Amino acid sequence: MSGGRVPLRIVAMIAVPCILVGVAAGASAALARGHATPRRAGIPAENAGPAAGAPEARNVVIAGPTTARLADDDRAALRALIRDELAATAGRSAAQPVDGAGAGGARAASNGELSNESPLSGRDLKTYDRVRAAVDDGVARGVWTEENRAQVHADIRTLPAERAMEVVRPLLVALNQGQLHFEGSGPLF
Amino acid sequence: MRIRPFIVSALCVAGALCAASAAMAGYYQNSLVTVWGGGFQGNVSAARYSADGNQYIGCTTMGSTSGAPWMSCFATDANNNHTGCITSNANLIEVASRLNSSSFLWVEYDSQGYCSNMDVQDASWGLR
Repeated sequence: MSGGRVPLRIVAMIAVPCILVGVAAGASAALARGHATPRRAGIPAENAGPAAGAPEARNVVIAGPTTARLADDDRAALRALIRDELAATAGRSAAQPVDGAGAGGARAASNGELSNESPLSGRDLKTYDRVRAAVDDGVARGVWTEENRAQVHADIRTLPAERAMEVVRPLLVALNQGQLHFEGSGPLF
Repeated sequence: MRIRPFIVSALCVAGALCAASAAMAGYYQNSLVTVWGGGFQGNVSAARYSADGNQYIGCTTMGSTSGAPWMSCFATDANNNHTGCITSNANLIEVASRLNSSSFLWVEYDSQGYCSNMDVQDASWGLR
């Protein structure tokens, strides 16, 4: 993590389900060691072809899957955290920028467009995530409003070019394919 | 006679209109905004002064001191059909930088939403 501490709340949210899953998996493995043959879900033991001398099956109670739900803020923070790590990893492994690329670490693709390789700051990550959510929502609903335009325009001004283009491009694809209705006139952002 | 001053006034107004019309003489191409699958075109002033209230055509370039610039171009025709594209290609941004209020703009884009070709005509025929 570049330059920031991971909030304890997020660590707890990740760690607790992992521990629970680990304990459940360990218990299942321990119980499974008592069986001579594996059982597949939905297949009765008698049809599974037990080996000679296999011990009797035990009654095993398997708890249903537990679902941990995150609040919107936590989910956004988690996404930003993961994206930051991925971006930092990509940034470390990226080659030197080619001529004409910006100082943000972006590289030019064969068509002259910038590729998405520059890591984002914490503030930019939040901005990027906010725009992404608006774009995803707009594309999913098939509607884009002037309010969306104002919000996204204000946000993308602060993002590096390649990130800004990356995040708004789905809007253009949907618009040009007739899958997005713009309730206004002029630019979409 | 009361009608005489009225005739004189009407003649004056007609003369002024003729003079104004003569002052605006010259070839003007009223290219309204047209959009199609893969591109759009139109005259900036024609779009601005179109009667329908929908038409739009233009480009926005964004940049900062720390990164490469990028640009978005959009068009809306009289029937409120929208289209647009983005690019960070330096050549296209250079072409679009010539855009002004009398320009005719023609743009093509690819299936990924990137602008691919651009033509800016800046001439007297676009000046309104």
